[in-house]
Amino acid sequence: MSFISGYIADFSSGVMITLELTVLGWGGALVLGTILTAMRVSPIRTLNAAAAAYVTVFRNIPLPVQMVLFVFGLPLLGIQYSLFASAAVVLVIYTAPFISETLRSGLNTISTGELEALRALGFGPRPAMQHLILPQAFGTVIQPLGNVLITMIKNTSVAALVGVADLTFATNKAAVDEAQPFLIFGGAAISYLVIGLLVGRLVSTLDRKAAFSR
Amino acid sequence: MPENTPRQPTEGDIVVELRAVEKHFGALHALRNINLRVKRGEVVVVLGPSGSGKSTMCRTINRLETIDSGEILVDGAPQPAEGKELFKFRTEVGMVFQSFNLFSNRTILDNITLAPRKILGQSKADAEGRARDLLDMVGIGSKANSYPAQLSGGQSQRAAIARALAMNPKVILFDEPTSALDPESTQDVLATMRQLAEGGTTMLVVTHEMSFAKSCADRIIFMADGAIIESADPETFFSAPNSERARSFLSSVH
Repeated sequence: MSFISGYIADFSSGVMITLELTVLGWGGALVLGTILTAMRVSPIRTLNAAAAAYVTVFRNIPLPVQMVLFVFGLPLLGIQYSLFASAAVVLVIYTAPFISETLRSGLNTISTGELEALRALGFGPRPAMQHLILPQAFGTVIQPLGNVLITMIKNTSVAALVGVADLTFATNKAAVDEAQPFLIFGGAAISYLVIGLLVGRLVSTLDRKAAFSR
Repeated sequence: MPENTPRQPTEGDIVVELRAVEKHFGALHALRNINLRVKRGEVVVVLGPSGSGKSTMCRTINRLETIDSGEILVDGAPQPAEGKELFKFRTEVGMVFQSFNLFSNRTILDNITLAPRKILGQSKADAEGRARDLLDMVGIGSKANSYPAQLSGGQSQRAAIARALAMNPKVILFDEPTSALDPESTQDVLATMRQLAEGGTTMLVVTHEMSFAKSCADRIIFMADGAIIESADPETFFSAPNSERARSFLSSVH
């Protein structure tokens, strides 16, 4: 087991990269997913159609395919980002449709009566969305959004495929060097499990708080 | 009794006006040549059988229902068709619904302060102060931090009335405000409405509550088949209605 100490630095920087990808990917995907949701329920037909097309395309192409296309395809068009930035952007692009579809199911929990009351009080579509509809929709889909988040945390491992030195990349490197795949990947599995467990607890706490107002 | 109320509607000061309003729902002629004027401070009660167009007429005034032709004015200003002007127009027309339509995941206080803060731009402190006064006035001051699901029907409707009042509207439309309530809650809500009527609030009330119509209305509008059949003071309407339709309606509800 003494060989492990030689990889501690690699592992911890791998975990850090995984966490950074998670934070950036989730933040970006939340913003993009919310915009897509607002577009999906917009009365303007072109916005609606554009968002629906986006969801269809990016939800159905596997993440590794998108990752490779983005990292190796865009440079052919003269566009180049760092590997880390590329991985983060692809995670955002891929995860946003799942957030959008989850959030859209939360919109349906608002009754037509409440929507009518908003209109009668002088709310236009935008302030209605901003001040009541979206916050309420988020509150009702915390648990399913938590599932999307946990899936995304595991999806950060796809970044290793294109050479981002995340947890999976560091694990793979050590496993190849030491010919101890079971032990080393077992360690990585536990790391992912711990991250997922913590996030799951956080989501449940948030959900209990939101449940009070439901 | 109207003769006991301290206010007198000002002659010629029209808050709501409908001119030759027509509306169809497909083949159904829902509103036929509706002409109506509500004076400032006046309480107009709209009576009529189900399906006579009472609620539809009420809902056209803040454009929750669009009209096919005709004109609707509030305080002399024509109702805008859409956009920011319409949203602003709606802030001046309060509405109380049959099913309350409170925001279910907001506290009662938030229900009342949401529009004053976000639409009228009032500060949180101002909006909450006013909301608490209104809640005290409608008799549910202790419910400020409760959620709608924790209130009875009568309390919910009184909260909804407070929400409408918080916008300082020029007129409040009541669309069958007690039809979803038990008799006791109905009396609570009617008491609140009576209080508003006596305080000089301009009100258009669609209801089946004859007691309220008799005691609080300055004028009764009777509708049938999408048209206004009669417009009279309550005493005349209830004792000597002009039309056969009104006579048969009154005999069926008495």
